[in-house]
Amino acid sequence: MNTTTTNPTHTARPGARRSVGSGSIWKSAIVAASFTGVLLGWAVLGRGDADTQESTAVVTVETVAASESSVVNVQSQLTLPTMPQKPVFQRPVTSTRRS
Amino acid sequence: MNAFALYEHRFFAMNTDVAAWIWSTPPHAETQLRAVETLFAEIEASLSRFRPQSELQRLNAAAGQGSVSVSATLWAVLVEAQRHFNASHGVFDPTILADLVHAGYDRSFEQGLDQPTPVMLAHHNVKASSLDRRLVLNAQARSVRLAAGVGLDLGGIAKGWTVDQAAERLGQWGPALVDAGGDIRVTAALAGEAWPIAVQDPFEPAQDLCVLRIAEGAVATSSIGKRHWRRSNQLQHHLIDPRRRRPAQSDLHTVTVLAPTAVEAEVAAKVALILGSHSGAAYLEAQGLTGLLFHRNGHQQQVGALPIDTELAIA
Repeated sequence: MNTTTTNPTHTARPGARRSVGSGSIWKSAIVAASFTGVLLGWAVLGRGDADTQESTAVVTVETVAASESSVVNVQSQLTLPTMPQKPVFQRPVTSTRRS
Repeated sequence: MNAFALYEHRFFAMNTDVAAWIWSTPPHAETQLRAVETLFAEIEASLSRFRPQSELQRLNAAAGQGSVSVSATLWAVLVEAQRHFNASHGVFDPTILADLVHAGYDRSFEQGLDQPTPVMLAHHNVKASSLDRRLVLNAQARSVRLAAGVGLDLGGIAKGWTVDQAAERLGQWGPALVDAGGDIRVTAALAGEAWPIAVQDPFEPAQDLCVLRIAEGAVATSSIGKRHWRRSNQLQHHLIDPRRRRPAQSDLHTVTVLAPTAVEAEVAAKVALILGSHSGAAYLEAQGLTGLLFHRNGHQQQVGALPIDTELAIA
């Protein structure tokens, strides 16, 4: 059975340019405080980006050739995360049939 | 990280198309779906009357010769069959093999029944009696004794029972649905959403009448519309009325029943069809079941409240 999984390309956030001043202590303190603020900002915004990427990942499975004795395939594309987004079903899964 | 998805597996077993779905991740989904196919094959090998070496056929061959020890699978199905015999007051009867063969259903339907049968089993004139006299179950020894001339056919219960076994095992790994020729069992809703199952128009199989939403439970359909053939220029079908020992002649063409398990739905659908619309509806209501009765004249009769989805498009 062939199963493939594809994920969207992650977009790297551009890193903030850092500069370190020299000379006076107060200048260094300002730079350090600014740097700290940048790091805190990355921590907050970066987490939000990760959540967005997880919720839009798509699983695609190729249909296996029917000649194989056992065929497993995904009926439809569904979005993650762990539980599917609603509505799950766009059409009936199966039907009652006289047996 | 393994991604969750809806995995599907299709195969042929018990003379019908089987499909199973599970919301899970690989490799669990793949492993468990393959296990479903294996389970069907194992149970069919044991319970099919169309396989000369099956455990069921060996038991039938030993009728009148004393007790025979049986496997846990065959035992479980026979116990279930006995329970439904009692609940239906004998309308469901697993000892109808001779009547089925006499009607012409002596081979797998796919081999074609519209043919003269060169050899017919003697239609033993076994008078209808309590099941306990024809089929004796010894729980302590897990053995079975068939009276002479009695033959078992589990076609009206084995498929539903197998669907339940498969679904309950599969359902341990995620929300799942197993469908064997229209005997369907759902283990749990998917993200709180019930599974949509179309109701096929028994008179126009290419069309659906409505969509049912089932979060947990089963649905099965019994019909004279598919497995029928001609013998001596008379139309025969596989649903034997044990009271007449002939194919049922009620006013019903197809019955679809919703029940907690597939075996209950399968048996109830058959019983209701044999009984006819009036007694069949009463039987379903007495059992606390709901369903759809399709009369031979095309009339549709609903029994109880059905979980019909009025928004999802049908074919």
